[in-house]
Amino acid sequence: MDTSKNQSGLKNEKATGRRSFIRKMGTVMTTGVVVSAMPAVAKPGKPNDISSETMIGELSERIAILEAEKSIAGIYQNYESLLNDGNYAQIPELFARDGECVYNGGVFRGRDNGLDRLYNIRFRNGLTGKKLDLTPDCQDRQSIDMSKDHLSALAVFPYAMQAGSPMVADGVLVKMARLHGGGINKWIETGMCELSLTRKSREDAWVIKRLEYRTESGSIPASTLTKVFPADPEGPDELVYSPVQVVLVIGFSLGLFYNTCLLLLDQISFML
Amino acid sequence: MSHPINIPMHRFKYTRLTSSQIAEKLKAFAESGPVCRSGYTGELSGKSIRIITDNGPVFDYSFRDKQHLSVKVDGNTFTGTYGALTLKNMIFFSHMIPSEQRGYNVFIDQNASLVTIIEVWFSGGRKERTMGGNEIIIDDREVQRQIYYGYIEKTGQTAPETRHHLTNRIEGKGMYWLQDTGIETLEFYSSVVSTNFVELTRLMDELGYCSPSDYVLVNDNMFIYNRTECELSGIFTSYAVDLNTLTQVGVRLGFNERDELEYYIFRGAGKIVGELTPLGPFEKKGNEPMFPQTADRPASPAKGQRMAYRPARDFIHMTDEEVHEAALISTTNFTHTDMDVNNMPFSDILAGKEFTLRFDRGGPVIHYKVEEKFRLRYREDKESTWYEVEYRAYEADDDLAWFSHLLVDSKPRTSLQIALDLTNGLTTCIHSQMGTEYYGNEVSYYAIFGVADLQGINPPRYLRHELSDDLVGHAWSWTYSNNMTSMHLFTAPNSHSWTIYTADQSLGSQWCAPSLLVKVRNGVHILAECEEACNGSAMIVMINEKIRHDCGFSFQGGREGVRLNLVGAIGRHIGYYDIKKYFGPKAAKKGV
Repeated sequence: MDTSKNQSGLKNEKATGRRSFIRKMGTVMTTGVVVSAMPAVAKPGKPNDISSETMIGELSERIAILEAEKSIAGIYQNYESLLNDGNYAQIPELFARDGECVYNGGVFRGRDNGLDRLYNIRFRNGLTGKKLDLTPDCQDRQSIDMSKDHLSALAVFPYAMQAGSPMVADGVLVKMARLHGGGINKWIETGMCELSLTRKSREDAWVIKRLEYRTESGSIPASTLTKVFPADPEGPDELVYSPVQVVLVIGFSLGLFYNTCLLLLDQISFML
Repeated sequence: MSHPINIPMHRFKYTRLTSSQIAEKLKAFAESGPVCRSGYTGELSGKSIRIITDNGPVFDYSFRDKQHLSVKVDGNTFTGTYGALTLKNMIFFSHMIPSEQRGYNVFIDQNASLVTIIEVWFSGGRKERTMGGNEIIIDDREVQRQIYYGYIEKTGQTAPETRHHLTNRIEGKGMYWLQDTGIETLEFYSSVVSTNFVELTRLMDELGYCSPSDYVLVNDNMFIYNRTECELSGIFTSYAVDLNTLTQVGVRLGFNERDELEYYIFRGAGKIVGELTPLGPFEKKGNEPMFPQTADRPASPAKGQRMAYRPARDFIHMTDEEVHEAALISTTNFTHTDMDVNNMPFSDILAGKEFTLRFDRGGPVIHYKVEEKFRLRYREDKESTWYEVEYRAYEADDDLAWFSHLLVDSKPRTSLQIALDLTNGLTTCIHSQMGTEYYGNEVSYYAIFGVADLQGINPPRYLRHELSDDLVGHAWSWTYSNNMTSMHLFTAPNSHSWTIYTADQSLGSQWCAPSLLVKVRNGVHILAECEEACNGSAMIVMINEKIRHDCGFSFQGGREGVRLNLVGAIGRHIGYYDIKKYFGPKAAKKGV
């Protein structure tokens, strides 16, 4: 993605390719101060109007960035608050029609399909999404990077929420417990929530193209999704594998390949 | 006076009275006001009082005599009849608004000049969403209630700072009450939002029932109570209690099973029959109303909203054939659920054994060959075929096998839960099968007793396991998993209730069902019950009080087929009500 950080030469600022929102603001402000100082140090004879135009242009750009960032942060705050209040039905509206969400090893696609299934069924049934306080060290892990044309952005926000899944049981106890907000196996998840956002023009509102929960820790190990929809009525459209799982699969495959080669060599040497 | 009914309230088909029928019946009380056996008090005669409520109207009352009043409320003035009773420094009076279907029950705490008013009304048209997500309109005959807290306005005096308020201080208390009407009840205030009660006079069967309730604290020795028999007759009972003198004054309003309007005020005398240990915090949860928690709950509850459990509204009726068709597609056993996380381990105590169970009085004779921990073969004596099935067994007590299996190809689907005492050959079988006279998807069950032909054992000829009331009055909490605990209260010899522990360990919603208890050994019992008119599931567990554990099975049928599953929990003894003396065959008393 061609992000604004590339323009401002801050590519090496963080190995992750992300920089904190606060630091970015600092950068913008610093640039602004330098630019505003330029006329005072400009040499006589140099046309000041160019500097003014540049300055205005750059300031406008910075303001546009700040406004976009504020808008993106607002979308995430709105998303969090809808989740926290249990207004699941409204959440898919924050997404593009073909938007998707990656959660717990599954990709849920489409505002009216997968996303509706994720939020209106899975999250609702588990009362997932109640916001929990973040630890202070998480606060500066937030970042927003925007494309040069200001039409797409990547944002990362730390999150901590209560997640849950309904208990499985035949009797009425679970249903009764639901009356009290219970009947759910609950756990706490913390990590980073990565949003890919898009908009048609600078005047349009941002919509979420893709939202991915990168869970870093949980109060209990929640089992990842194993079935896709419709085998699992609340299931994702596709399963995804974590890097650890990928490494395990590759490792296993390599091991299998190595053993097969050894076996073949053994066979060949036996035949010879 | 009429004879008490012998149809359990959860099975009774109460008439869906229309609003106009209700209005017509209410007219009968317009002239008289509530009836009273004990005589009205004239304490309020000639007085005028203004009651300011925090969350409701201002009431201007003028009492002409001990039966007539006028009240200005919501800007309208009404004249009508009332009845009042005193309880120490509490004055209670009740009246309806003429030509309307609403009325007020007013509890005046004269010491503190504080007032609790319970507005009641019929034909509210209130909507509720069931647990299954269906929106229902509450029956017109179900009395609705809204509680207002306030004070008596006194010229020149500022308003009191305190108010009566909801409380959890009563949670756990159990009382026997005898009203001046001759009505006897056992009432167990075992939840902060519900009551277990046993009608000792009105009903032929001594079964326990549960109804939504409110508990309002007046002071350390006095509280105000109400319950509405939601999903039953819809009748409303409210009273003030003085715990020091164990006396009450109150009101009953609503339509009974004969659709007669009962509207009377009463005095009563009671006894405390015991206490259960509340595990919730003092005066915390109980100070706030408890409403159903939904994912997207409304910001403010509607007037009259309460924590009412209405399971039958989501219970879909199926015929025997429909259930069996579903069973032919799917009949499963021993799937783990969240109800067996804390189960006891499976045992191989029967593996390698061959035995015959002979049940009394023409009951079945079943031959068993148990070859493995999870598989056995059985043959009924009248048949020649051996059937091989999966089974699960626990060693519920030393050398006491407790096992279950499905009967192969049974129609209706049937499972057996069998206790076999390997030390004496005594055996009990709970025969559970799909279908009752009410629903194809409800389980019916019964206990049969007998002995086993078992190598090395001479079984007794007369001694048997037997139906028992040993656990009656006891309450046990059962923790099925870290997130699921309920309390079983054995309210009567033939029924018990279950109550959900909420997040702060206050007891919340509860429901009840007929059940049976079999004594297997001292401190070891079988509990068999079906969640009747609820979801139709049966739970058949063996309770070992010595190790505070239960283990067993659930049996259920529905659209998804028939399932014989596992149940097990670790427990705590929560308390005991001394109530056995109130039960047993006796001459039936006539109702009110």
